[in-house]
Amino acid sequence: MTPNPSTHGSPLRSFLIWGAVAIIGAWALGVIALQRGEPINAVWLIVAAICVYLIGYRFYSKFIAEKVLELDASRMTPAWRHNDGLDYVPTDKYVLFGHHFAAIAGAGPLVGPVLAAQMGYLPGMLWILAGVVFAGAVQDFVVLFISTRRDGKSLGDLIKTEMGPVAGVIALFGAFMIMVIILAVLAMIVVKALIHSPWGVFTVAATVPIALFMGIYLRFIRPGRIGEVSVIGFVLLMLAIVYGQDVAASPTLAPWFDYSGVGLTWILIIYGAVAAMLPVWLLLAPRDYLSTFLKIGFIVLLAGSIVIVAPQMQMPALTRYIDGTGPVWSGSLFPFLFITIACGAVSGFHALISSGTTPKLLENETQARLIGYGGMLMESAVASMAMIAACVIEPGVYFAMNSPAALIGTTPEQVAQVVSSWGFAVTPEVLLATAKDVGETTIISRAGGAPTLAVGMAHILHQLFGGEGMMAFWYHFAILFEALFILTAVDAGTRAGRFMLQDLLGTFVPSMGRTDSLPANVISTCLCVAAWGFFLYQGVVDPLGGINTLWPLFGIANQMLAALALTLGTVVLFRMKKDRYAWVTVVPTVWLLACTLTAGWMKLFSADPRVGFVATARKFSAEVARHQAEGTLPEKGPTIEQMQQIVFNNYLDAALCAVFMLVVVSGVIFGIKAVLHARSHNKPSVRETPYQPLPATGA
Amino acid sequence: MPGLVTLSSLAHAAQESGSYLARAARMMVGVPDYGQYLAHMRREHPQEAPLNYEEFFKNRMQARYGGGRAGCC
Repeated sequence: MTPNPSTHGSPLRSFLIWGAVAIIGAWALGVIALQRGEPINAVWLIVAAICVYLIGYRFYSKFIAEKVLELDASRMTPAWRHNDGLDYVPTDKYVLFGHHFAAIAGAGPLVGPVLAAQMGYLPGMLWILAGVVFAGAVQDFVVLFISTRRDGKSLGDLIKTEMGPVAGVIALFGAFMIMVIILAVLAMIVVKALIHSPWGVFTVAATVPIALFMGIYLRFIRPGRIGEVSVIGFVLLMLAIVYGQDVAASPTLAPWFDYSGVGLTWILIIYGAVAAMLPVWLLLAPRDYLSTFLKIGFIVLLAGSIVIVAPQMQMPALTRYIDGTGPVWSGSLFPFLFITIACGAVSGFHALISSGTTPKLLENETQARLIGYGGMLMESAVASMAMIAACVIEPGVYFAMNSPAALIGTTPEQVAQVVSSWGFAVTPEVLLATAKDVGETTIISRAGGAPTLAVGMAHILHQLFGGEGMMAFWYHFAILFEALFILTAVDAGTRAGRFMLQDLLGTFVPSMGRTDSLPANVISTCLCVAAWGFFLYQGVVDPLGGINTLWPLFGIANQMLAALALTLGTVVLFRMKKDRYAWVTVVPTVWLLACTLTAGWMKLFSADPRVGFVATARKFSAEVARHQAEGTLPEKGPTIEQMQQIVFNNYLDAALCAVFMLVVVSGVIFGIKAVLHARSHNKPSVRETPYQPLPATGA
Repeated sequence: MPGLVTLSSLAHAAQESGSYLARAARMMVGVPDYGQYLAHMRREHPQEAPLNYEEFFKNRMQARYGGGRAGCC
């Protein structure tokens, strides 16, 4: 679904068409909001979402394009100015849309909505729709526009030139820390999905030799033949899923692929370090090809099957957990819902992509609207589908899968009893049967979103392809697909972190800055892996499941980067003397600041140990002190050493949270100074590449 | 024979859209159109020898991953 409404035709026809879209959308939203206890069909959510996207694209993005940014179809873009057929290439707009979308879509929009589903689908769905139209898509569009008018400069450089060098360094540092947290949280999702799952571990492990084979094929056997090698890789992957079932069933082979959480953590850490030091053609590039094509194919498949199967939403529209006592993550609807769903509504990380390769490929400035705004609408559609997939499974199963063992116990009987007592009826038999259907021994406390999503997807897909017998295949297909691109992100992210670190260390120790030096490479790679590995380990051993700690940190950090990117947008609007339209970026900035600063403040200072880092640390250090004073040992739960570790980790998380808040507050102060400076001039003070007309061939 | 004309134009359309999709798929993993690159080199730098496809492909792979491309969340 590429939103590209025609602007031709008479005003009356346009009025009738858009009036109809508005009425259908309002009707669908009404059905969703006004249902009382009756489960509704997922198609209503899809219809509402599509109507909102179409109207947002047709009217709001047009307003931004024509009035606010004044996109100029006659203006030269970097792709024409620096055309070299390699980095700078004027590219067909739909081809570029695919490139941009493949770059922005990752695991984020699939995980956040699943976690947010504990409050019911309504709050999350409304935030996904409102957030994308007024914040997320605006950010991507505006940053793409700013970068395109400045020769495709990166976000760090843009902030440096528009808001000052200190602000630029702050933003880069913030981006690095966000990457560390993202890698840790993504890796944790993989770990949680694969604990004691020989089938899952086998298929994910098989991707490594498959990618190595593809890399060698692509380098030496048939250089550059991406299409055929991807088909071969895909077939091998499917075989790995099919034979994974036999491996899991074999008493001799299964133990080789059966690991605890801590075991998987160490495997991932060592793997991350080795993978990031290998040449890119051997492992990273071929796996990226596989994961990119699989990602696009899977999204298309899921969208098609939701529409055809038209499943019923089992989760209530609202649950009582909007009060903040939810078992999946703690915290009230405001501000925590708005940081739990980051990608899909608004994601700061996209500002890095929109100022990366896309502006260097833009054929015409006016296409920034389709690619920037439209691309983000597409990602939001993926988030909506993830929300649907999480809500079509039984709520009892959802809570059994996503609540930590410390709350619900470990046996199906205990879990069914606790979850049913919360008002989400479920029996031990249903829990066992669901695990059996998807080919696992247990589904209890598989937090992190990926397994829930996989169960939801299997639930939808098996109704279309293969029936009950294929459910286990679809479950492992979904797990593999998520693990594949998370591993790609871990590899690529570690590499990117290594270069950032070498850049930083090189200013103090010049020999560390040499990217071709093996010792410098090894040291900085290990430092980078150690950084995310530490948070990963902490999350995996966390008695409350890790997601409760790490996901809010990631959400806060990601939304803060978005606030910084929108601040940059605001500065540029004031520099362009577009003061009267500055609310377009000011309103989402203020909203994001309100959410992230409130959430950050609560994570720091809330007296509730389930929410506040400091409160948790104090609670456990009091426990430790009590045991030491009385000379006793804890009878159950964490040991004294584990408690001391929890205390340390929570103080560290608190410090990190405080650093994020400082980063965003200082960034915004630099932004305000730049705005005041711009307002003191009575002429535009933009620093764009001077206007040149497009060559005749490009007009 | 009108039937054959339709068939061949259908085949042509299928070929066209197939190559368009292949172009889109390659661009998704950071490899731009090689034909466009050759045309650019012929037009702007006729005296320089363009990269052959294998070199072009390696160049694009290094550009995409060599500097440490940050994946998205």
